Amino acid sequence: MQDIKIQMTNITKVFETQSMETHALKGIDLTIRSGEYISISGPSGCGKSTLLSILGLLDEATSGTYMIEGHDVTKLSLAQSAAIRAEKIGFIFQQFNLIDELSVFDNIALPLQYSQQQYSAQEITQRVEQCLECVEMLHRKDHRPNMLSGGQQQRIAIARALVANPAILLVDEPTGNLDSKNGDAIMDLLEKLNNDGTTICLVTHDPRYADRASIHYNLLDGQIQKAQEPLREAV
Amino acid sequence: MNYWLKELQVALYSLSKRPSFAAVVILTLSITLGAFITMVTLNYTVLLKPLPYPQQERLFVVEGERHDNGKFLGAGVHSYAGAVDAYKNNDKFSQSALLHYEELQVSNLAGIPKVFATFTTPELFNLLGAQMAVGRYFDKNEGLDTHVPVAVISYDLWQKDFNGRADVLAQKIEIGQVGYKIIGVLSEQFVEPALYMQGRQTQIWLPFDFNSRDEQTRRNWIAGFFELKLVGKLATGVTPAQAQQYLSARINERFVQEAKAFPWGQNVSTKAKLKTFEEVIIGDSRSTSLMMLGAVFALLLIACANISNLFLSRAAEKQRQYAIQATLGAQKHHIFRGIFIESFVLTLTATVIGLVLSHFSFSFIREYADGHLPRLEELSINYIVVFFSVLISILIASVFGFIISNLIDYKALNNVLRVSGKGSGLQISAKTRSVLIISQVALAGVLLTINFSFFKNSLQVIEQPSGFKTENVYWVSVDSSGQQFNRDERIAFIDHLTSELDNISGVNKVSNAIYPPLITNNWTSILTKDAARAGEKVLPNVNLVDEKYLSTFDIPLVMGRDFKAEEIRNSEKVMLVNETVANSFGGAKSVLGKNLYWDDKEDPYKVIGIVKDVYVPRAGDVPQMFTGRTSSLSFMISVSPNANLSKIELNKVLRKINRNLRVGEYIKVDEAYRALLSRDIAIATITSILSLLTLLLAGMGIYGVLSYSVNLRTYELGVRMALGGSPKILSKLVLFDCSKPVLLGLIVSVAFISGLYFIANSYYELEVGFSYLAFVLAFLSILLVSLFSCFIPMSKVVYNKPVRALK
Repeated sequence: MQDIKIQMTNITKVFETQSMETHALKGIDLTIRSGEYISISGPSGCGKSTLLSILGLLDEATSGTYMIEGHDVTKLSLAQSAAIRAEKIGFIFQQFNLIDELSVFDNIALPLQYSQQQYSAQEITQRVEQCLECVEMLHRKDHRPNMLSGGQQQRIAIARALVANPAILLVDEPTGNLDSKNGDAIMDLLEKLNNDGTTICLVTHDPRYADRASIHYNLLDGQIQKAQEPLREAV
Repeated sequence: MNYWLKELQVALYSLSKRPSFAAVVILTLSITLGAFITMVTLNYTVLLKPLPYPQQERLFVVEGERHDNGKFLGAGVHSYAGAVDAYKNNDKFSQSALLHYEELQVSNLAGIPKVFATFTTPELFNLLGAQMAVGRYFDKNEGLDTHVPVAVISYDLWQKDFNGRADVLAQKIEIGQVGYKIIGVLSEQFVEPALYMQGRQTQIWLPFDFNSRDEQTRRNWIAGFFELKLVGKLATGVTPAQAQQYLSARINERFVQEAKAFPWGQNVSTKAKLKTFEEVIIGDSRSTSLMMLGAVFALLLIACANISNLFLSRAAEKQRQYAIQATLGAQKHHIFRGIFIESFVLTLTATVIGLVLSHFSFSFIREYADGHLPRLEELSINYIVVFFSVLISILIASVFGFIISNLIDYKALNNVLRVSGKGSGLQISAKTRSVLIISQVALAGVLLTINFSFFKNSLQVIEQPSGFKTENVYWVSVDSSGQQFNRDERIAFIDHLTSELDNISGVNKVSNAIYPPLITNNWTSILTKDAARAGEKVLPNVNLVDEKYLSTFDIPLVMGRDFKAEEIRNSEKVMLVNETVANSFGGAKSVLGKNLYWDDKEDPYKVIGIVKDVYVPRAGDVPQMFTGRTSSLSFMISVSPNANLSKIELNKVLRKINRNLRVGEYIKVDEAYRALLSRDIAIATITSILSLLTLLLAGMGIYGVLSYSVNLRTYELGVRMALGGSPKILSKLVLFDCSKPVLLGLIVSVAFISGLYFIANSYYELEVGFSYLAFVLAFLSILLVSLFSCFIPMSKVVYNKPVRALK
């Protein structure tokens, strides 16, 4: 039995406005084990981004329980959430989200600088270069993000996500801003990382890429189901 | 034309959709433009506007100067005989006139008011090109030595005291024992030249013959008077230097001859100095009015920087509209025209409001700066001011239009449409934002430091203890309507008056003295240690007092004793001096018990006591001497804290003694003291208002730019939060980034202030020193404002869920 990295039980998310309530997630149960590569897909507005935000501690669930590596992270302060994001979660965004003012090296080093664990300068250099090597971008470490192509920027974003050895990589439409060639290369890279032991949760609307994951979930109207399995009723 | 009208309609519609933007711009600009228009009008009036007199450049005031052995003693005085002689025997002026300024009581007007009266010769009105509302001014039959009792009154007096009645020329003005027939009323537009005192407006003009100087004084070539003036229009072909030389020689010859009769007068001399009316009226007010203009200009720059920022933000907001225009073929000047018209609508509205504010601010300036700045009565909104204001509004609108249209990246406009408005083509660059912050902080730093320096200086003056009792003391003089007394009669009369005043309920003490301690430069005299006046000379203020003067004002003795009653009765030759006089002669111990020679008196006066210096605002260390005498009909009356000594009550008491007696001066000493502080109170008020306005404007501007900068970084902050950046770390990061331009702005302001201080110190005599405290206070205020400006928008991002920032 593999270690459980992520465990969500009966997670709901309700957005309230003055006139109405929107139930974005309706009792999500989700378990991700160490080394798994799961994908979540669904139509626009089905709650993918909301689920990813809660998974990444960017937002809070309205109800339910959320555990990362056995620790309850359902209700944390902003600072506690930030500390967990720095150490346990690696993000890869559709729009790369590299900071233009920082060099490639400094972009990748950010999670280490934000981590509560103190890293020496030497250690930071070593880890950043290792990650750059992993995505085959070491030669670009002193460049600015705007000097790189989209595919290269996404590789840097992957390196940044890996640098703190997170428990899980949360990947949001990584190929959305790339052509198919670059998109395929990024997906190959993710697969290679998973083969090396990295736990990955991919959110995508592209069935070709969703199928490359070992487990594939569908999200529809705020409810989740494993592909080919019947939809479960919300609690 | 149609195109412009269309653009105007579009601008009005567009602004109506953003009322808060329009309101902030109009409010900010109207306040600062109002202040700027006021200061420009003031400076135009003081520095550029010609005086309202014909051939004003040829009008001169002859000022007498006194020298002792070549050493300058003082300026601005004339002896009576010397001035009259120069008036009568002078071919260097085509016309000249004598003036003698006084304050007199008019007995036949309601309330027996005290008025400003000026005794003059007929030529004055011609020299000033005076127009009459009614009647005429003096003619040659009412000139010097004619003794015809006639009067010309001011328009204001006619309206207020005669209710503008048509038969005013059939009325008389009664002053003392003389009734003066009114022969004319000056025009409402007549502007009196302030040759004697700023803010003093003559209400009654009387022939020179009737001035209060006695016959002995009129023959005196030595005693000098500030209130006596000789003015004239330079004859054609005569230079000021020639006139000066001629008049100096004339008045000095007799002065030197007469002065030789005195032991101190062996080496003294006098000379005439010609000063233009402009020099006398404007005096040193140029620097004051220019400084005020500079301060308000800096304020306007801050406001413009603020508004630039608002316009830039608005341009960013309107990027889609500009992009559509560009796609449809609009060129740079088309977009400029739209921005210009929108700016002009706002600046013109602000200018109109500014003009109204400016109109009301003139009354405020007249009230607070009266007596400190010249020609305030001439301040008004005229066509030049309106033209200038409209020009300013066009200029500001053009500058905004030019800057903003140049900051727009036209290549990026197309991109805006392509990415459905998600691009950042029109965002204000970091460099522009930094320049805006630096300039605002630097200007605010300079302005606040200067304001705080002036404020601190004035506060020190206001808070300095006077060193004598000012509360519940009245200074009352008695007008005896020309009643003559010999010495014994006068002493008996004063004793009787003192006793009657003492009996009034609530009166604690009555002292007979010429004036309270706050009067300086009224009567100065030479004091020396030796009869030949060869050693150290001091020019103290002289006051003749009785034995109750010091205790009435609670002035402490440092050494020695007070006067005794019998010393006053017998007019013994004893005196008190203050610490400043004593220090000039080597200290209290070396003066006490010693003899000092006073003025032209042959016998010395023994110093029996040293009194503590009192503080007279802005007068510095004033040397003072007191001699014990019962001399004048002037009394210092101390009353109980809750007692009120009214003028009516005093008049009742005086009428019981003699029906011709009435109250002359009636002054509350604490009010007179506060009046001396009026300039500092005005400075403190103005600098406080300016400081608040500066902080408010700079705060708004800095907040605008910093919050815009933070808002631009919202997504980036969201990414950093997603990567694990805690609120604390990100707060530090943002505050550090924001503080860079703020600190740079402060450094620029320190450099500017240092340069200003160096120049002011090197080339001008500084009245106010810049203080470190002012520096620190100004910078702390700006830092605090900047901190808040940065923290508020930043906290909305970093102390919230990251998902919000990433949306």
